[in-house]
Amino acid sequence: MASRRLKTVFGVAATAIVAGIAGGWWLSAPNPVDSASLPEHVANLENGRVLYTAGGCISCHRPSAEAILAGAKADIPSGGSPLVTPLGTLYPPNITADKETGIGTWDAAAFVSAMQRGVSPEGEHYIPAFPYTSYARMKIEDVLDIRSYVMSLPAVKSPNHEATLPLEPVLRRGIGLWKLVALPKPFVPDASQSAEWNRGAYLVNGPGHCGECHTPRNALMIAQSSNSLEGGPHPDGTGKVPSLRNLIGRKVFEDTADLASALSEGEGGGYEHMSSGGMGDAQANLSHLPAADVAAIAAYLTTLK
Amino acid sequence: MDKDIDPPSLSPNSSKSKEINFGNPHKTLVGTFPETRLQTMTFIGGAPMKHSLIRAGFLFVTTAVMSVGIAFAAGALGPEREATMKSLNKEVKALSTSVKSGKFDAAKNKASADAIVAGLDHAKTLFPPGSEKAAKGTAPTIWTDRAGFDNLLTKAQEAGKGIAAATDIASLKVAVAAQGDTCKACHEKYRTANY
Repeated sequence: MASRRLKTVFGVAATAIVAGIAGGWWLSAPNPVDSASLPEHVANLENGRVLYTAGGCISCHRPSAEAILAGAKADIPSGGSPLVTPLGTLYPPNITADKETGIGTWDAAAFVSAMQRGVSPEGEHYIPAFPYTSYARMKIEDVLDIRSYVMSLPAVKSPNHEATLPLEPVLRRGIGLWKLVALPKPFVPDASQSAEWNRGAYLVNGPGHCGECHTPRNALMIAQSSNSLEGGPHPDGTGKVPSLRNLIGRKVFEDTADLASALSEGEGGGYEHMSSGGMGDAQANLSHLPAADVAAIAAYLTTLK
Repeated sequence: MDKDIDPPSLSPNSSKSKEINFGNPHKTLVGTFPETRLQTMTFIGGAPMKHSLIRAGFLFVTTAVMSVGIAFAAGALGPEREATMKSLNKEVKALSTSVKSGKFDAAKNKASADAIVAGLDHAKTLFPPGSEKAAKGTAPTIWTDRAGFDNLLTKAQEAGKGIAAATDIASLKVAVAAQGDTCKACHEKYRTANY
């Protein structure tokens, strides 16, 4: 009879839906790093400082303008400065060593889980405005050094703001599925290239996270590695991000040294397009990198065709 | 001569419209509500001689507004802004080159500094109210936060004066870096990646 067949159809459909949700739930589960898997490592604070600079941490985790007016130090990452994204407004948290409002109670595994897997100690997925899809390429030892450096900065009490996001629990869980495709593998040096080139490639694709803006994204907002650093629409929604490929061939820069000057001097060296669309923060951080690292970045970028 | 306080009738044949005498400059329309835009314009165009000053003023304002509109429409502001900014960039580049060369030329520095100050004076006139959509690359906050924008342009001019005040290569290097910082500060906030 029709009603029995209908009941069967409904039964099968309901089972499939429940199975789908359960499967999605399982697939999207947070995947934090296990403490036991971390390597033995003696912290190198100077390396941590350089990579913290290359990583641009302060550019997002800086205090808000109000906090600075109230006396907060602009160069200490106590967080709170609003980050407006197409999804909503985020408030990058306090990453100083404060135990109540910062990351003072986080162990090494929690820090690496955040930086390379995009998972919070509470088991939530971070919105990928936090560029863990680039930091995932870094060596664990380098991430541990960044942690040591950050923990050595003055601890600041600054409570975190909740993000304003639509359907937040669903959104965050959905990011768990997204990560299955979007998280890249760790950086592997190219043995046919020089140490300088490899250093530049590592800095650009790892801590520098240049591709987060300069690599175009598909409809699922995943950066397309086959179009690495080709530029495209600005992820903020307004305007374009330039291509970093064939810079010398297109006469954007005269040579590698010219590009290196542009990165470290910015507009002060008479270079254009080094300030707007977020590049100002990037250039400010680049200006504080060791000259050899800026040269390496330039050496790598100018080989891209 | 009662003041007509009822809403105007939309019918062109109502008793109210019969009072209007189109095109006659000597008929004053008092107490009659113009029912159509044509009637209003004709009323002003057909006003008696003692209102000609008002008419001239109205025509002047219309022409002025239209010219500015035409300038915007013709896209003059965008290329003008770009040319002005490029000329400023040229000066900063030349100064950066002379810092790197190690050759200090006070006269050249003064000329560059003067060009920078003058260029920024000109830039201040290129973002008038209403030009929000005139060209790409401008953040709306230029107009909603006008004080902040003007402040950064002025700071850029002060940096230019600092270049003229430099006495040797070392102080020139500091002054040029400071100039670059003012360019950056404004562009970070008020220029969008629309190029």
